Amino acid sequence: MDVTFIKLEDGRDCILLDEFNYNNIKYAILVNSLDKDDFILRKIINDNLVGLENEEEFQKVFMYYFNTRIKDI
Amino acid sequence: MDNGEKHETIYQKTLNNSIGPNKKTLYYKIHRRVALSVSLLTLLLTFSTSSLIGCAKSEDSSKDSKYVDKYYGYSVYSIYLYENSRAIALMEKYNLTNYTQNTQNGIERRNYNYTADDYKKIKELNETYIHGVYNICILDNVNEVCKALGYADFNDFLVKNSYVNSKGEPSIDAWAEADLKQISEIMKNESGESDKGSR
Repeated sequence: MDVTFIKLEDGRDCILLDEFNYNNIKYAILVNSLDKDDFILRKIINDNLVGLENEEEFQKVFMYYFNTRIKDI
Repeated sequence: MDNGEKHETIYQKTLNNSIGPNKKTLYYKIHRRVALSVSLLTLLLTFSTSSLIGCAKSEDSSKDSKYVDKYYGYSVYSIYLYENSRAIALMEKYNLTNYTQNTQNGIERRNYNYTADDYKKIKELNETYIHGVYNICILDNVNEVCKALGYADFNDFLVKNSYVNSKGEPSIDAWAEADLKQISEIMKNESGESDKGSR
């Protein structure tokens, strides 16, 4: 099975779970390939995965992803 | 550690992994044909998504309190996210990854370049995957998946399963309720299996 891996700056091998757009910024959700509960959310800027500014941005993006990747009922 | 504590821990860990402009790595994708068995890797991805859903559950469960007893405590959002990820994982397992990103009714949707004959090759495909496909794909894809399962199209699937309104017309609302119950049952059963595995 083909899986997309990304190596983080600290050496962790992560699996790319999803990419999505929010406020004209592209984000990626990854999970540590050796720890199923170790998730990472980063923004994609100029072919780099960059950390978010602060917890406020994290919460907005985190909840946007969960609340809008579905159809309205 | 109970589930609430576990999900809070996962949330904090994800937060720590994600914030800080000093965190930076090249977005260089490496595609690997893994040595792990397919079932093991699918399990990893499924439980990974379930853990992330658990965070969403603890974050928004207060807003969906009316669903607490109805869907084993899972929020509507977490159920939909789980079934979306489940459908995607199944497609990827069979290397059905050729799609474009379209916008339909203002919402981003995937448009997979496959027909019913391609979906018939998916041994595990059953009706519990249709709602996940419906959430993430354009309607044409949903029709093809339904055809692979023996229906004429998506409307035929709704009507034959009695997901209809008072006039007997296909009804998404009637289907959504049944789907939420069905998928939450699957999530509950898989959560029970993962707890056994961690002992």
